[in-house]
Amino acid sequence: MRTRVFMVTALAAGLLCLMLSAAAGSEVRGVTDKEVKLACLVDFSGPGKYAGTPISDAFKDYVAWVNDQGGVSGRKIELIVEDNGILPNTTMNAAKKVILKDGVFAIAFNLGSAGASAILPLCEENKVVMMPHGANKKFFDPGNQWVFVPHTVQYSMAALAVEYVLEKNPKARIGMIYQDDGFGREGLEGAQAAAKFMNSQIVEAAPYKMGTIDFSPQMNAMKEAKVDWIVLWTYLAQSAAIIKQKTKMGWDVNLISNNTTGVPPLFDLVGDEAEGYLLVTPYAPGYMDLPGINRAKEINKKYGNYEKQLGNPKYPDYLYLAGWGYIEAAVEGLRKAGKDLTPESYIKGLESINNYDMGGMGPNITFGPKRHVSSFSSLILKADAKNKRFVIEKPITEPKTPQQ
Amino acid sequence: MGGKFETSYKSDMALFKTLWVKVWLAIFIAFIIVCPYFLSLYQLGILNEISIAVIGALGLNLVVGYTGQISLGHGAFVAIGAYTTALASDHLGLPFVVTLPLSGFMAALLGMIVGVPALRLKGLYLALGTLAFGFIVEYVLFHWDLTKGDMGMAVKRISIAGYEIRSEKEYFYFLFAFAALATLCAKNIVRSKFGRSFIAIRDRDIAAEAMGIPLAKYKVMAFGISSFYAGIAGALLAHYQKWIVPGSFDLSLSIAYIAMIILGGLGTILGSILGAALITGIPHGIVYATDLVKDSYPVLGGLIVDLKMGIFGLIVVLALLFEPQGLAGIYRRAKLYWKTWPFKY
Amino acid sequence: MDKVLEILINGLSMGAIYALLALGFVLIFKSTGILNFAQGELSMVGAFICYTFATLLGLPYALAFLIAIFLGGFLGVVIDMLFFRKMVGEPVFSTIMITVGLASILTSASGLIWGHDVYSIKAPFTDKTLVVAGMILSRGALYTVGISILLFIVFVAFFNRSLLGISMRGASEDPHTAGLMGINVKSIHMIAWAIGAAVAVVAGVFMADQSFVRLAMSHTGIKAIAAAILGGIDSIRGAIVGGAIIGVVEGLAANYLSGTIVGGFHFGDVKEVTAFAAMILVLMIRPHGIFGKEKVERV
Repeated sequence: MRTRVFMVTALAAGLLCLMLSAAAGSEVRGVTDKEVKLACLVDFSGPGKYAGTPISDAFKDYVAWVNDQGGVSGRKIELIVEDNGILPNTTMNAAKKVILKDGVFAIAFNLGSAGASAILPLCEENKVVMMPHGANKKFFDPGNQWVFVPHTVQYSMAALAVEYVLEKNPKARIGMIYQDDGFGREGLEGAQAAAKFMNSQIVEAAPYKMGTIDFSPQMNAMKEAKVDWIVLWTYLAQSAAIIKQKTKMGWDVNLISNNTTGVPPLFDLVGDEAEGYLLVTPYAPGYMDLPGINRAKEINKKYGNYEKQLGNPKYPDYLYLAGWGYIEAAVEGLRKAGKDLTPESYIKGLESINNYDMGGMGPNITFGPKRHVSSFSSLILKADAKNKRFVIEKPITEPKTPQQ
Repeated sequence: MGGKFETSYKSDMALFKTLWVKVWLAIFIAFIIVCPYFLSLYQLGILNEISIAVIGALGLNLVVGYTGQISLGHGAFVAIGAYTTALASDHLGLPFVVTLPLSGFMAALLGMIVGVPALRLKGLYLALGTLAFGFIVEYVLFHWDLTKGDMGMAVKRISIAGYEIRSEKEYFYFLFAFAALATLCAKNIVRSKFGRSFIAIRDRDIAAEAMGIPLAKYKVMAFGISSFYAGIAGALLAHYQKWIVPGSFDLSLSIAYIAMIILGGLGTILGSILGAALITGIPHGIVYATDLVKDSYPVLGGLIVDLKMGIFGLIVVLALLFEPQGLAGIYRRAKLYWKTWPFKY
Repeated sequence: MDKVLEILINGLSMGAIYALLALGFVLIFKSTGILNFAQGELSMVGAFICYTFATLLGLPYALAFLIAIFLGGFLGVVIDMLFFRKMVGEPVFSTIMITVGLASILTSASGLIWGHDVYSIKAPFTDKTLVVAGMILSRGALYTVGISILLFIVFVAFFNRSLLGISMRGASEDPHTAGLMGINVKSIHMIAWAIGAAVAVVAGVFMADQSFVRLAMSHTGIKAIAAAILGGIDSIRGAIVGGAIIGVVEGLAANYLSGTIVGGFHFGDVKEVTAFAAMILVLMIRPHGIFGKEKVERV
């Protein structure tokens, strides 16, 4: 009995020594001489699912094109696309996986502002640059050295939307239905700031919990407050539900929404009822003839599936363009950082981007040491239900409301 | 059962019964100490999640497995622990050594409050009552300005006497120590007067009362202890993730904990540990598996969420249909077989 | 006054859906003693099936509806045979957990088959409204309430008058004696599941008309359990009344409580939690519900 115990102990000790010796060293995560790893976290399964595929398509096409040109500073880009479910918990799981398991160098896209806030501590701890989509004002005011936003934040878009409405009709009564989290609250802040700036106010604001599709209480409140316009800071399903509710109530109120809801599936869900629906977005619609968009189409033709994607009128084209803007910024940052690539040099590289030409697809990209959010401008689009697409109502403008 | 004949009360009650057990334990401890040196950060992260889950599962098994009270609201108590520590360390500036037990006590307090009405409710009704409680707690946390709802709350790092816990490795040792401590306490509770009273209540509560066990006191205590464990687990989770939202603590968390103790084995300590490890590990295992085949079948990427849920449900159902005693039951049978071989009985 | 009537009718239409779900729930419970936590998921699957036939395959709405009901019932039978035959006699807890596991399986299977998007079914009465006495009512709501009332009358008659209905009640009260009296308890269980699932499908399709078809639909199932508890978990009448009450109370609460702020606490999304608050109240005051019978336990 004693000898058995002794033998087992010795065996175990031997195994342990073996395992100890397998300890590995470390370099810069996600970077080798030949390769750099980037992650794209989007939603394939949650409330923002309709955005996941087009954004990852854009990433895949662009990365394929860059790698075909020989990569950046001799390094090919390995792209890891991961489902983040848009919610904070699932985003945290996804971020943990890509940083700790896959070992990526930077997260070039994260869908969902709540999730972005949730993974920020993780990114800071592990020195990972993150580019959130639909990001919050706090990312540029006061700002965070690891966070870059290559397009416009919620606050600015909401401000522009309200300014547009009040410019058309200074006496308009504006209500707002917003998602009760970081994303929606920021829209509310922007809307309220713009309203105040134009000497008006948001007369009624009604929040809802993410995932809700029953809006009778909110719409009733709006009707009682006698609003003419409702600003929607929602996702697609909620916008569709609100349009349906509006029809149900027989009420012809005007709607203006944020960029995430302006996609062709909206027409599938509500049909002609979407006529006149407005939205504010940083990117031009895909069917327009602009150099930036044409370039994207060329690359999509070569590396992607053009008929199913940019060539397909039912495709959420400008989500593709949104993703495009992010990966362009991310890769440009890599170019500027050069051969010696570390998290710090990458930050410097990104900060040195100045007026990078997006070819009219959206606002040009400029970063700086104190400027991690590239732009404040957006456009206003209008839904054309008959042709199932969106037309430009007002071109790229910066909101007049002070943004800092 | 198992072939060991105890001759003294002391040896019957001993925590570590044979020399073998002590040796295995020593090897296990040594293994834990060297773990972080050859496991990847991601794998350490998984183990950390398991440590936290073990604490919660131990608590739940005490009230469900040992006392027979069905609680479908365990997630709510975890939430209370998490938010207590977040609020206490943020608004009141209290250090971790204070907020941790505070979280446990807050959760225990609410647990005992829930335990009182539980005295009147049996089986199904108790289950539904705790379920409703869980929903209401989630609702309150979401809509209260103080807890900031879906905006989420940032939680500070753990700092004890000036030393901050930062890396996965440090968390690993820290959380494991807590899990081990929790296990020890649970084992002690079970072999004490309280544990025996709990088991009597589970088996036949009216008879237990007739024998002189104060039902009210012990039922409420069971809820209190179980919620205390949940609160501690919640506080540790909050400091580990450094960001909490009410949605992390919803019905699916309560169900996950129930699944842990069913799969592991109701009414056993080992079962809580095994169940926690398995239920926490399976989604990660699916991630590993899908990563391996992702390149050949890219479509799998979007299906991971469904697979995780489906496999989870399947395992719960299969475990209940074919092995109601759970993993601990399998382990016991295997041990018995090993010990009494080549005899069948 | 108009407003209250509008809220009432909309609340009743939601209440009809809860009542249908609760009905199926109570039915299965009465006949087999199993608490089916997957009732909501069954209604979701039913709605998806109807969507497949109506929108994807282009069949007329009524036909797709009937096919979905039939397939739903079939699914109920399959579930009974696969999972619950083995579990006869096992403790309550285990059966509840099996239905919970089943709920996960159904949700994930639906996600795999139909995806996570939001879909709509075009019924002949979708989005059309009727103006009655100055109130704007949706036709969908009226249809829902109307057809539900019809179904309830059928069910009550079935259970009180028909031979099969009475045998089902007998089998649930005392399976052994019923078996001795010549009632085939196994087939009673199967029928109970079939009807329970079919009723869930009807509820699901009505739900889809009021909003959309999507995975999260199943959450309504748990609220329906609250309705069943309110009415008494072993009473058919109770399920119907309970459902109606919860639907109306939800509507009233949502309208009058929504938006009020008390000491930093916002009463939003009241509909999410009203049913559960009601459930807790019922459990505290009268656990066996309005119409249920109290059980006496012997040692």
